[in-house]
Amino acid sequence: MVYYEIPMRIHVNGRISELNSSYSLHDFITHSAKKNDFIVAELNGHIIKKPDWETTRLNEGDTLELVTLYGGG
Amino acid sequence: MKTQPIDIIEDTPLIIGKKAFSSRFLLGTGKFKSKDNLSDAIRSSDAQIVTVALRRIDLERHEDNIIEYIPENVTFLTNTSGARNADEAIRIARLAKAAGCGTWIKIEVINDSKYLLPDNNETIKATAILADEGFTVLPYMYPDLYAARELVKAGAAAVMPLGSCIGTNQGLKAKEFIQILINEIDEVPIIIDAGIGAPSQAAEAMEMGADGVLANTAIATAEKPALMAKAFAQAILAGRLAYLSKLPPAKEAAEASSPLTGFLYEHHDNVR
Repeated sequence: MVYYEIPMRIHVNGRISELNSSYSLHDFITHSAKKNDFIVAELNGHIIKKPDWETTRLNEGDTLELVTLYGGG
Repeated sequence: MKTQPIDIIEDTPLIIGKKAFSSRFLLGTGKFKSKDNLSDAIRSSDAQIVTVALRRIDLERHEDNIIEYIPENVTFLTNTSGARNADEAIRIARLAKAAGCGTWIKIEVINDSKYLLPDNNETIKATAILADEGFTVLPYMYPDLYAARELVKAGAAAVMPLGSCIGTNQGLKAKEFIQILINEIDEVPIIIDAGIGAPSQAAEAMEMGADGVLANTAIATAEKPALMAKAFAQAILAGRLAYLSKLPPAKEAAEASSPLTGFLYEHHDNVR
């Protein structure tokens, strides 16, 4: 894993997250959510399918949306 | 004299898209006080379709996923709540599909914050695109016949007119216009969505000939949600049976239900 002296900044769900290491999308989601079932990731406006999470790396300035299911009518 | 039991329920299933359902009750999963309340309500409702919504994950609170509280074999109908136009509804639908909750979508496009009325024009646009992409599309709409026809043409699998404004529990304020949809739209089921605040209102919708009822607030905010879910389920079935039995029309003048040609007058005559 690559460690940065200056944290990398990404936008996650409308807020800035600072990462001090290089994350794959899979690692970031596993770190951020209790379970990764029924989670969808949209990176810079494109949906990233779950099989591609491991090979997708987060980069400085990325905009990531992580959404899941909630109660609704 | 011995009588044979009569199977009074001779109904066809509710068919939406390629699926058939024995229950005509669609249950929303919002506003429940606890996830256990939700789970119990779904079970006692016998609903086979439940609506869910898509939201950003709260990164600071590691919450349980709602899916864990929904029984298996229930069809998820993801709504596009939060969408203000067709493009946003389409985006939410695609995200829902990618999240693994299937391709059943309740299109809900709202850009009015006071009455939360659906925008029929944007709903028609989103329906056309998503139906073309293979989604089973159930659009929530304002009960307008022209819009309903356009939704059918656009590929909607059902049409879901509002009974009254979302969450108001006001029942069938739009009754006369819903009746027009029921009378004129034969191609797809008509499911009454929004504003149904009591089992009696759900029964009334079914008596009118609606094919199903979607309710959420009235159940979720009841003191005993599971009990209310059961009450709704029974009311929807009662209304359906009343519709199938062909309700006689209302009349202006009274008409006795007991025979009045009677012995009383004859008796008086005899006394005289």
